Amino acid sequence: MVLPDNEIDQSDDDHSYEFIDSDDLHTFSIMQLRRFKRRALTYEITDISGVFTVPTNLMLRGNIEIKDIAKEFILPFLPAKALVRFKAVSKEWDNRISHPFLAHLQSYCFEEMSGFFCQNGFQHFFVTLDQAAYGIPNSTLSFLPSNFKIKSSCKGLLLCQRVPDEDEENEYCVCNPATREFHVLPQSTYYHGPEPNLILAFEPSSMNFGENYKVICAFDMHDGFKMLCFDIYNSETKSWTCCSDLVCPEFEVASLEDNGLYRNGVAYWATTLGYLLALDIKNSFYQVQPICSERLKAEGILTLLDGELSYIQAYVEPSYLESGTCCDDTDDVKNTCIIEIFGGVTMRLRRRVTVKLDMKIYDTQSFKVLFAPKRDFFIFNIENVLYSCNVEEKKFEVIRSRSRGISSSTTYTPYVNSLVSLA
Amino acid sequence: MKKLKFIGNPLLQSREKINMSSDKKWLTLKTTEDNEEFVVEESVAIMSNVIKNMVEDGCASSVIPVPRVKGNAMGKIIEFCKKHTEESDEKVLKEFDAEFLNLGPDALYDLMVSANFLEIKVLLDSVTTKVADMIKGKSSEEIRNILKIENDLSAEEIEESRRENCWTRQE
Repeated sequence: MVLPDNEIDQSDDDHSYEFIDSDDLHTFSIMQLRRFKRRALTYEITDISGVFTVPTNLMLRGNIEIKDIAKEFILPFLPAKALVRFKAVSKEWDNRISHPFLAHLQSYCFEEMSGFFCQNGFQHFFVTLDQAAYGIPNSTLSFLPSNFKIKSSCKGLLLCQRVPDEDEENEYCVCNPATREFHVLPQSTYYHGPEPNLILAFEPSSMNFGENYKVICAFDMHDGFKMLCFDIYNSETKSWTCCSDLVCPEFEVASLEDNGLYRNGVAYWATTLGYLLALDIKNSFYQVQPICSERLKAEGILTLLDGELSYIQAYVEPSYLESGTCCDDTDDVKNTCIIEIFGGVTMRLRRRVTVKLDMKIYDTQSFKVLFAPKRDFFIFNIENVLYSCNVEEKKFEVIRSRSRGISSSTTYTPYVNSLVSLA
Repeated sequence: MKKLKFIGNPLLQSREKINMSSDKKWLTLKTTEDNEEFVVEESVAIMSNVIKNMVEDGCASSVIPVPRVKGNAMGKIIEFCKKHTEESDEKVLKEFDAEFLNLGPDALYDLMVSANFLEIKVLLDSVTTKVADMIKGKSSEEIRNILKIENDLSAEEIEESRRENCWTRQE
């Protein structure tokens, strides 16, 4: 049944949309198509959500099935390991998954922390948070040209620093461990010293196809006295820029904690003295904000929780026995883990979470929070054993038992299983 | 074109009552598969782009027939749209979504197909993320079974894929 054009004349008052017959699905779709065409002429499609609009050819089919929706909409939300495995589902899926546009969409849609890298001395390896869903082909990153240390990560890309020989300049590379692609960065004119603090800044855009990133290198400049300077690499121009006006005399590299964060044009570092350093790259200025924590010496982590920049600290306290006496020596005393979350513009205490531990901890200094992958879910290093903690279920689970790779000097870098292409 | 008349329909009377008592505009959505009717505020119904277009183009009278969507899916969709038009706090909405999507796989797939058909982006995004989370750990065989996809790859092609990508094994 085909409706002639004049039946959809809007000026006709008698027009009624109340019809119900067996062809109404087809009619419904035809009317949609005509309306779509009219609208396309009169309105500009500027909404980014246009990326997810149901294509008209799908609407016309009327028999949209779950597998079509899965192919069109679900694939971009899957992690790299699952996607590569699903190439074996069918030829159609293989084509769609292999297409560069899907990799681009996925780098924008998939944001879950999938695991983390542990760097101990010159050795590194990958720990996954879900064996079936998240993974990389090569845990030791042996596809890189020489021995690199993992320094920073951002949305599926890793920033690595080559272990330099004496008198050699630092060499950096950016890679995607899932696709094994990498770029070696050109040298900067500045000497960054042996241990600069690095942040990889990469924000996938739904519109721009080219994947551009920046590397922010904080290093000490000795000009009479030590000051913090920032050398910034831009992959678009393939060059480094160091703004000589942008110096921070309040801090030096040693006072910046690892795993700084980049978001919306600003790089954030927590400092060992209990401050937050925020560097606005676009507008070239910085700001210092004290973190309102009473425990300044406790090492915390900077993370994004529910979209808000947060600082998380965790420590253990001995619990009281039910009888009310406190005795650290007996095995009956269970420790309590306290997690404090600071956030907001003033970095105030937002939440305090307590979880009872069902293990006794002998060295309370060895208790550290490493990551907060999602709400009420944390990763801890407790006496060199790595645990995941689900606050709601009050459960601690071992994700990496004691091994040579985990020691007090191990550094950890989070990773998102993205297919972002560096080609 | 047939015209449907509502004669002696109790719903018609109650609809008139609603219209008289408030300034809000009300629409009736009728699922044509199982003939269930839902009276909703226009502001809630237009979360669906499809319904919004109809209303804006003036083509919708107060009853809108909705094919392809079953009654219980429609009920859930309206519940979702109502909450999202009433509430603006992101945290509350996130918690509501998590609770709301606590459904079995079949109900989720129904919801996904319906949200896609009615073009409700917010709901489609939430459901697709949840379904992606559910299937990310499965094997390609399980995916074919769940989504009813025909296997058009030869045994050699599957074996080659498995060898090339042996790191994607689930265990």
